[in-house]
Amino acid sequence: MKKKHLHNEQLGYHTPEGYFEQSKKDILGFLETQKPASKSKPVFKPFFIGVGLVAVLVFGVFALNDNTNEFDSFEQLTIESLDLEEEEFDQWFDENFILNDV
Amino acid sequence: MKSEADIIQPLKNKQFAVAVTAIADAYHELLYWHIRKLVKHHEHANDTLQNTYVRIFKGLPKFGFKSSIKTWCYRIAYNESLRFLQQQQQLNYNDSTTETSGYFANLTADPYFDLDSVSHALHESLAKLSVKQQQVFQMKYFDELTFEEISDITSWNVNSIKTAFYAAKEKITLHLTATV
Repeated sequence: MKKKHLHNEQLGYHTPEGYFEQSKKDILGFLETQKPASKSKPVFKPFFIGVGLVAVLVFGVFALNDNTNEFDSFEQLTIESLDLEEEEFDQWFDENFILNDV
Repeated sequence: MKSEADIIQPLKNKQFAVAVTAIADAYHELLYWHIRKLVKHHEHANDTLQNTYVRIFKGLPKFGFKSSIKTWCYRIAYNESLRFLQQQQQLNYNDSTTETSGYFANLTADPYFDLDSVSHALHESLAKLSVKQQQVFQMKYFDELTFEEISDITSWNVNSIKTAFYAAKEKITLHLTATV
């Protein structure tokens, strides 16, 4: 074959005797035990992206609500604390912060 | 020898085993030589060729008919060869040999390479080219691929391929004229 001759003569690349016939047989024999990868259906892609987006939105809304409530109650307590006398503050602080968390 | 149409028909009928056999009938030797020039050593080329076939076979159901089967197979063989070379490079990361001596060390380590039978000057001039110039020259001169096909295989711009080829051709001609 022309290619083989060109590679042998000009580049000095050789192959074992009968290499091409044998390697083709071996490789095709090996491939008989393999399965081609099945084509993935793109229909599922938008579905999973949609589910992901909804999950992120729901999680985001909950997280935001949670933070907002926390922020609101903290604000409320801070305002309440302004009405307290110095002596009452320790008790108020224990009730609203320390004991509240237990 | 099988033609492109002999491969496309079974592929459209989802007869992948028939298609891969037709690919082997049409391009087996061409793919081997394409890989051999990139990885140089026969045993390495043999391993890379096997991996190429596995990728071709597994990729057949996803073939989009955007390019020819030939170009697609060459592209897989090319990428598989680069993957092999990268792995080799990682293994030899502290090898201090120069590019030219590394080129010849790789060649002469192969029992299926016969330096006496060829023009030593051709390999010398190839070793002096950049990797891109070497690849482009070999694909154009030995594989007889068109500039467009080389572009599809390597993802390089056609104009940069032309530039690399003509620069390589000039350097090789100069070197051969001076030494032979």
